[in-house]
Amino acid sequence: MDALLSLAFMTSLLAGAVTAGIPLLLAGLGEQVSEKAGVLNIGIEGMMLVGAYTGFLAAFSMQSFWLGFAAGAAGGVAVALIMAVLCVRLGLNQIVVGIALTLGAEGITALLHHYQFSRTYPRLPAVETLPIPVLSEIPIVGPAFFDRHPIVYLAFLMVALLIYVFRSTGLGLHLQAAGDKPAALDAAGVDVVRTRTAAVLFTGLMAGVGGAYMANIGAGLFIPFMTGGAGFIGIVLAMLARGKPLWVVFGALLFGAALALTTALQVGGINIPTDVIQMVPFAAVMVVLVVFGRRAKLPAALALPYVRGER
Amino acid sequence: MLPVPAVLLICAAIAVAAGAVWSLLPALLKAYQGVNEIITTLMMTFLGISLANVLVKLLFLDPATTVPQTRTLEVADRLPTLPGSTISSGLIIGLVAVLAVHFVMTRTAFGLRLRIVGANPQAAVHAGLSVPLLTVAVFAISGGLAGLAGAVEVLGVQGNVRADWNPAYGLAVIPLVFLARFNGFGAIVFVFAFSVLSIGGESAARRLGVPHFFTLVVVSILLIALALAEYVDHRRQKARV
Repeated sequence: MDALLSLAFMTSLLAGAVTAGIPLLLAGLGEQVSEKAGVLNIGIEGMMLVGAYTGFLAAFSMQSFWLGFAAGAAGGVAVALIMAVLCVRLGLNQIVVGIALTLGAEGITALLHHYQFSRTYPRLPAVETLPIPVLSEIPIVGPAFFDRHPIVYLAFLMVALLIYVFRSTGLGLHLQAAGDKPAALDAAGVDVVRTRTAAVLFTGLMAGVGGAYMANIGAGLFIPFMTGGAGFIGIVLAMLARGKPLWVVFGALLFGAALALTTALQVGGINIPTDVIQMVPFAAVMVVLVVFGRRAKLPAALALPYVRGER
Repeated sequence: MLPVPAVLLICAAIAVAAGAVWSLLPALLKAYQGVNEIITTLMMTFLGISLANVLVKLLFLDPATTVPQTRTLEVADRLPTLPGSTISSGLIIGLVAVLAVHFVMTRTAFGLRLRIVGANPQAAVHAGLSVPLLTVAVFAISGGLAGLAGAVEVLGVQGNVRADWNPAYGLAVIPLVFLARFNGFGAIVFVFAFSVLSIGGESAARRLGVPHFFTLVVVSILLIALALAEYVDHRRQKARV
């Protein structure tokens, strides 16, 4: 048991939790905005996967992590654009389109990977970090939070930004109204379709960056189906957080820790079959839902397309 | 030794029970805590796939092969095919299930209660219906039928379970049911169209020499095209009124 409680184990577990948690955090925040605006974005898994692919492709061919993240964001937004046109503008069923987009993204990225990388499996170099002076010296916490690529700091800044937008801006109010009572927003003279479109595109952007983080920093390479349900965990986080960005952070770190447990346990010298390990995050979701399930509250008009003048 | 039909019947019953049990946790969460079932059932799906792998690799492994899979059923012990064809008798089971569900939903008091709960849960509470119990019952029936579907595939077509075997029929069928507007007979049409096109996509992929991931893309385009077709049809019907 000593090995489990050692400094090295705790450090690697927390650092792993942050590395695995950042994509979940980005996806959860994105999904939160879209759910707030009344769009249940089941396609987020596909947006992450496309973001992971385009992000890796750009980072690998141009040897720049920043261009990788930009391309990941663009990839996620491209998928989100399809979702916005079909579900927000035309009002097609969000679950049908979401599942379709996820399946399509899995197929297309796996095909592209097959033709481009399946023989060589190229890898990116380890990422350069930007340690924050003094703070990065703290044992355990320092390496996990303050010795990171700047995108991690931006992700945490995004939490603060979203808290501000939800709490103190007109835009936050519009988003909430678009999800709870779109007709009221329409009557107030704000375009519901435009508000929801913006929310869906934002989700795509966050999911795309999250996917790119998984590929470029988490793994250092692209593998087909590599998101492995991270988008779905993002949906769960958004549902449990009840519109509060800070809860998404706690949830993302919790699930990140569950995912990082595999590597950490191997560092600690304990071996468990991978199939069992793969069950951990999903079992954790179920446990969280059993314990806190009653608290999950969803916008009234979630997953309902808005048609002006229809009751 | 029991006769083959009896064994098959017992297997099917076990599969139905397993499916129903697997849906119990989402059902209870939905019925008594109001937790969104999309999320819980997705989680149970991921868990089920991994659990099946664990069972295949650790408990039911065929010692005779190096590939992780269960022992294979003799063809004589499987669900029979329809006389004079290679079509699995699962087709009949499926059609009977559609008829049975349709009969229950439209011709029985239980079905009427379910339709009331679906249309307006608050009105159902006022009408004195136990919404939580009905919710759990529906989940159990749905899970049981899904279990039966898995059993028909394994007992009739595959003959064994390989590790990592996940055709994702469930995920493909959900959009089809929405597209059919929850009408069982409509679902038959959509499922048939879907399977024809996805098998077509698979053989096209094989002929062109592209990896089987191609089928996923075909399925995706198919679902969006079906959704769009349904949208256009809906618009046209509205314009007529």
